[in-house]
Amino acid sequence: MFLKVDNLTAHYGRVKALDNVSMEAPKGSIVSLIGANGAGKSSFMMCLSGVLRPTSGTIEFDGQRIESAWPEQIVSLGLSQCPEGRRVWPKMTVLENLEMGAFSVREPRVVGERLERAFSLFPILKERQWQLAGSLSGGEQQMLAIARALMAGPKLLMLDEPSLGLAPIIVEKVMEVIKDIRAAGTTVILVEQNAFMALSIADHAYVLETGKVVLSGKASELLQNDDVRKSYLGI
Amino acid sequence: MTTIFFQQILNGVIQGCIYALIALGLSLVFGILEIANFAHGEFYMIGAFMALFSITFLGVPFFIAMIIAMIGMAFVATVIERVVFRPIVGKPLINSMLLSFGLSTALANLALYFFKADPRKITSGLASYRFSFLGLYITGERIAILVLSVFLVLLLAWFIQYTRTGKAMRAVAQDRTAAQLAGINIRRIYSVTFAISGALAAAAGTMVGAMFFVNPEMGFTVVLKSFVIVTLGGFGKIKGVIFAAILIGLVESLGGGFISYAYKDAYPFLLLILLFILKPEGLAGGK
Repeated sequence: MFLKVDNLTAHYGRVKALDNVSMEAPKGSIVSLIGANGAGKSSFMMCLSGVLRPTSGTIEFDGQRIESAWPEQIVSLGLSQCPEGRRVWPKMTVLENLEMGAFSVREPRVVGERLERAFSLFPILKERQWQLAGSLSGGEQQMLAIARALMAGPKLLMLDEPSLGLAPIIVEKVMEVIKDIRAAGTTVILVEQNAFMALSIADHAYVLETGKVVLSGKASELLQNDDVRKSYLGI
Repeated sequence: MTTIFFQQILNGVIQGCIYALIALGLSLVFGILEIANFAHGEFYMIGAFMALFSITFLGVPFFIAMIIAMIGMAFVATVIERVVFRPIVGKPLINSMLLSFGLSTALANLALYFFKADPRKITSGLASYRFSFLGLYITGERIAILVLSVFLVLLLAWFIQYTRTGKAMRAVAQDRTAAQLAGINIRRIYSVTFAISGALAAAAGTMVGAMFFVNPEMGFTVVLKSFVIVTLGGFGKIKGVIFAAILIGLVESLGGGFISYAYKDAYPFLLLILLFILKPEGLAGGK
């Protein structure tokens, strides 16, 4: 299995954020995590990125154990994250943000190629490359955040709430990009509050409640599940 | 009268440039590690002693002594960061304030024990060259100090703006988690930041040791003044800090020359209090 998480438990101080979470993601798939605010979705991603240290459990990525690796080692292995709330560096230019996204990459040629790709994926970023990231609109910042995460050349990209606070037309665009990213061979983990959208593009999905996986399965099946429809789709 | 005035302006600018070197290091550490380092004055003091001993025992020229002090202090600062400060990064500010205050007292007293209290002077060999123009006097030593400090400030500004490591430092200062997620090794950035801060403080200590004296207590007032400068200039704003440093240099020098030299060290704090009352948003405005 490309990504295999076993019995992951993590705490913020004394508060248990994740309680024995297990999940898998096959190579080339889109896997969604859905759940309410505070269900542990972001904590899960931060554990995978090495920013939050799990209390127990294992994470295996592409044949390597990474639960106690440093964040920069995890990025170098090919797992990168586009965090919730975009978190672009507001007082740096768009170009600098992208360059820093490729911090783990040593060859200037590769950085150049990835920059080309980011600009072809999001032409607006090319136009605005000299602007400060803080001066971009919310949608543009989200594109920048995704492009920055792609600059590391990930084999697995984690996206935390990429549709949050965006106009529907921009959300459409972001979903198209996610499909393109997968089509180019990158595995995607998508965390969303917009469960309908997440389930419609994912292959598999996991439902988190208060740090636990309460339901998992094929995304198409979860879309038909009564509990999911009632709790997350509002149908 | 006007000659004295311009002489004091010149002295104030030189003093201000030295303050800029010290305050920029403090500001970098505050911006990137979110640590208030009250032991920064001791970096400056130890740096000055390193230069002094390099000249006394190794017999090297002034510039070489300054470079030795900068490298030596960069190393010491890195070790101090790793051992003392690393465990409290991310904790509330009170931790670093107490810890660094204790470290400051410990380092100053160790220096007092080993180096003794008598003030000593760093000989640059440049003090005997005297130049005068328009009735103003300046020694070769002060010209060298002015040029060196301006050069170091510009070098730092260039480093932070254009190099890969400099950009990573800005990224960490603006959003530490985002920097980690981008694959930046923040522990390395912390080390580099302390190394730079220590090296600049050592350069400043060497310069002050040449113009005035080196003694174990020289760091105490300087670190407080540097906090005043960083507060006035705005945390993390390089231009603001440079501007505030020169302003404080001028205030001290003019206050010392025209009001009373005895209160020289009080003027920066009076200015800060005045500014808090009149312009609470800070000199540069904004956050």
